[in-house]
Amino acid sequence: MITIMKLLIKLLIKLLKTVFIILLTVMIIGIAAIKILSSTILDEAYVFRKLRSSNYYDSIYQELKSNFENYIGPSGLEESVLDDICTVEDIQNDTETILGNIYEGTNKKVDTTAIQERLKNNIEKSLNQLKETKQADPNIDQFVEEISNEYINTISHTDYEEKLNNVYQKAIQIIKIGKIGLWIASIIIIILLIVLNIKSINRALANIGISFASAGAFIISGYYILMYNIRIEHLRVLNNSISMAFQEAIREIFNNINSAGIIIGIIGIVLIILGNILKKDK
Amino acid sequence: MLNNIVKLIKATIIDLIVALLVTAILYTALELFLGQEISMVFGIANTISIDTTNKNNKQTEYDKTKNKLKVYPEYGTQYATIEISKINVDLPVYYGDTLEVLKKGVGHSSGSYFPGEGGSIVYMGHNSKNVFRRFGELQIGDTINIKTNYGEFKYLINDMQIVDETDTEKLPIQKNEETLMIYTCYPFNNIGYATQRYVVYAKLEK
Repeated sequence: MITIMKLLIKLLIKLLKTVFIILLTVMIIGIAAIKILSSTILDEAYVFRKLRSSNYYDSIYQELKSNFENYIGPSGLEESVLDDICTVEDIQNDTETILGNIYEGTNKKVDTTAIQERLKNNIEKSLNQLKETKQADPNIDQFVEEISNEYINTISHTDYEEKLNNVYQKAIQIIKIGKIGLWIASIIIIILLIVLNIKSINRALANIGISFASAGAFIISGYYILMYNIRIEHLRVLNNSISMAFQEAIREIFNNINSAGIIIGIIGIVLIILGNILKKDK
Repeated sequence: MLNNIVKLIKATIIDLIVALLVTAILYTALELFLGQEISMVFGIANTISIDTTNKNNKQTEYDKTKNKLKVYPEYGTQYATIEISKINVDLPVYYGDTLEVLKKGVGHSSGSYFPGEGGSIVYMGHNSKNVFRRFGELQIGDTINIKTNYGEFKYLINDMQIVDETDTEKLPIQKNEETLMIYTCYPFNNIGYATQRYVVYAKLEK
């Protein structure tokens, strides 16, 4: 009877150790995921860096010039009226305003007053040169408004700004709570593993090592599954400029995932080896 | 010493195998509980993943027995060319009517039929010099050729009208008779935003 009891207790302890190893693996994966997200797409400074490094603002500038040309054809105005109505700096400032709305929860609007004034001046010069009268004023005002709307829509994709704003705020809340919860849970599990292995602390080290190694293997294989299923170079989001920046960010995130997996895996292997080296001969 | 090293290696390998087993358990659990959500995420990723290396859709297929397309072109891709020899027009026709499409050539309204389907076909293009600036020179009896990868269609112009941009009744969609309607902004030399459209109507030459 006592033997059966002892056996059952041993089995229970082994089962608990297995459960804690699995739970600790999940915690490590969660902490790694939060760390990667927090240092990439959820970090405003990172996003600004990515936009600059992928020449996003220059690309949007070219895209805007091309979009504006759609309005010139039917307008009857000279193409030169669109010259220098906006600069790359304007685009950068306004894009950072929009992103600031998402990341900082502000509600600033893109101001196109300067663009409209430059455009109106160009149109007036052009019409004076052509000795045209200003009979088409209402149409010109509407033309200026259309150009202004095109600028705002290309910079901000107004429909998506609000949605992204809501998604980001919720994501930040979840991550804040998740981060604290995961760290506390991990520490508790490590303490429990030490307690369950109180007679041979080296096994506790090896068990923690198993969790790390397992998390590393999970993350690395996850990286390869993602690479197989998602063709980064074909991802298209809204327009070419955003797509290029998005692809670069995704590529970097995937690389971070792979690196994290390798580092965590190596830590796991080292802990396992240490745990077995410190094992006392019975 | 050697014995200890062998023991160490064995113990390490066993622990690593356990680690891999834990990984397998996690993937199994993930597949069981979140399999559908993961498939949905990959589905979304594939939806926004567009291979733009082959812009011309070569897969448009026409069913002659039913006078209908079997496979329709992808939105935003070129599927035909339009030729109006009277005004030296030879332009690509794209399925879709977005600004992006109109920048490249002539757009095909997605709510209308395709050449050969026996219904109303609506095309549009800018009145810029590279597109339909000379539309006003067209007369009744002039021909418009539409060349697709499933056939060539010849239309004879039978009417021209100036309509308000909001007057959609002037572009009726019906499936009784094949009619090609092409419109552009009017006046052709307008300054500013044009609120009228110049519409050319043409019937399929039998």
